[in-house]
Amino acid sequence: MEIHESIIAMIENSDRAGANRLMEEWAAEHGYERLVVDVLGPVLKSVGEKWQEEEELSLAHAYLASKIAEDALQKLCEQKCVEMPEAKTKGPVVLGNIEDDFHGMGRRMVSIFLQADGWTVHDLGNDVEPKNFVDKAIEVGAKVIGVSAMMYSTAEHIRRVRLEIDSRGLNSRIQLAVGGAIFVLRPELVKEFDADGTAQNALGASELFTLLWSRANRKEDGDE
Amino acid sequence: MSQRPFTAMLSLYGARLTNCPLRHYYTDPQAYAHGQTAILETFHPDILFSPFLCAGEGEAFGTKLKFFDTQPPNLLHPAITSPEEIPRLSVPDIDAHQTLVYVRKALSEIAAAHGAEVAVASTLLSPVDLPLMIMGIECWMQTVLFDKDGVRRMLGLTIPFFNEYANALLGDGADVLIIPVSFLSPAIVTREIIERFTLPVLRDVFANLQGPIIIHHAGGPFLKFLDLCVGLPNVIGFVVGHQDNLSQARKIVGRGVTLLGGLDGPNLGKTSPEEVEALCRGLLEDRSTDPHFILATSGPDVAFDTPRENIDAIRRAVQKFSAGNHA
Repeated sequence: MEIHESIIAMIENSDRAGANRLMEEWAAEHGYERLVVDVLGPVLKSVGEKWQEEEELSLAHAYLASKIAEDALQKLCEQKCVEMPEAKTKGPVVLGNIEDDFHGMGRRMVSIFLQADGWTVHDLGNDVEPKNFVDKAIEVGAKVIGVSAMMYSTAEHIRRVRLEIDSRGLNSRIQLAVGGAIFVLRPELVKEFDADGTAQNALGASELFTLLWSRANRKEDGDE
Repeated sequence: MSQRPFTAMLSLYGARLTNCPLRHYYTDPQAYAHGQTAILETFHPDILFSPFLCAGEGEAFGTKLKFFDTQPPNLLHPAITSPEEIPRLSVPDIDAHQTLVYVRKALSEIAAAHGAEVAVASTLLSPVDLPLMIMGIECWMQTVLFDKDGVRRMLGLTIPFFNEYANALLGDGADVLIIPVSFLSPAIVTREIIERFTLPVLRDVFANLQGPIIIHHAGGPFLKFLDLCVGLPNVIGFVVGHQDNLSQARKIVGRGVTLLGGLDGPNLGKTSPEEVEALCRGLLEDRSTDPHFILATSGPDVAFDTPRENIDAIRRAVQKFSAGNHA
């Protein structure tokens, strides 16, 4: 069985140790950098597609996938001992849970999946004030801000992130992604909060961020 | 013909009917009971609920809650953030902790006032879900997946708590316990986790209870693993998700088991009262030959800002259907 299918099977069977063993063997021959790009990336993409289209997988599966990805990234970091140079990444992005929101599991999973797919993630953690998202994005040159919220009462603060972006004249430079349980339950809120997009699950985040990054580039060039 | 029964999760909504600030509503048992009296007088459901306050059980273990203006209190900071901290926890005293006493007193008041005319249900978390409110979902998921010893130590606290608290609620006047179990949900866990972890615990603790149980779907679709729940001790019914096909649910659980659901509770206010009534009529017609179906909202509380007319539309639909149906 090809390694991708084997690792997916291990995720489905909740076998983190087995998946790590397989990846170590593969990386011993091909290196961890290739493991992340050639194996982990496609595996996570498949897992995300299965979760979204076939409703075959659960949060437990996705969480296990995130831990396996984290294990691989940790090994890569230990080997390289340096962060990936900016030039080699897809770009810097900013993540955080909105003010008053402390439910960070989904956000941490998104952070891992984004890193595994080559993004440089600046994770601000929980309970982040709206202005801090934008301050950080300016500081690091991020074109996408990802804001997470679990409940409607905290998600409402996301309006102020939009206000910050717009009031600073940055809406052609910075795109606003939103996510969390409330947006799955009430997808109309993406439009209501004037966000630029959301993903159905954590594994869809990289594709969303790629789309939004391109959109930000087109807007900056005046093509949109 | 007698009227078909119906209910809705109107635990929170009682505060709106009585203009009661939520911090008061969720700490004063009389205020809550007063709210449920208003629910009964306004909408005439067949089941009333004691406070739907799962986060309160976490608070009893040391979790900090956040209060809101239009929704129930929820988890702010978990009591612990790693399994290594489990030894710091202790089983709370169900006769002394203020939140547990609040729930029990509210339940007693409702049962005393209305128990002769309607059923009174009380909600609580199962021992496999309660850790979500004590250590947060990520920490508990990590423990369940990777730390058998952590699971054993945590269940060593939540199982005795559940046994004592559940039977106390039955003694306080609950006719039935409604137990949301997200560790049965296909959105959250796998069949393997349910078979290995969830079911053995539920089989054991449910057998110890001195009253009937209805398992609640905990928020998402429920049917994929519903077959695994059939035959659990003392379980008389299930609340399924509003997206779940009721005919399929009935096929899975068999006859004689109570099925509740059909309506999207948190989003009930998003359509017109006429559309709510039409939806209810369709559900009742679909279930016309199913005597053990109770039209109900699925999911958590009906939202605070739901127009009264939308909730009343449920009652209207049931009345009209019952008057017109001579089967």
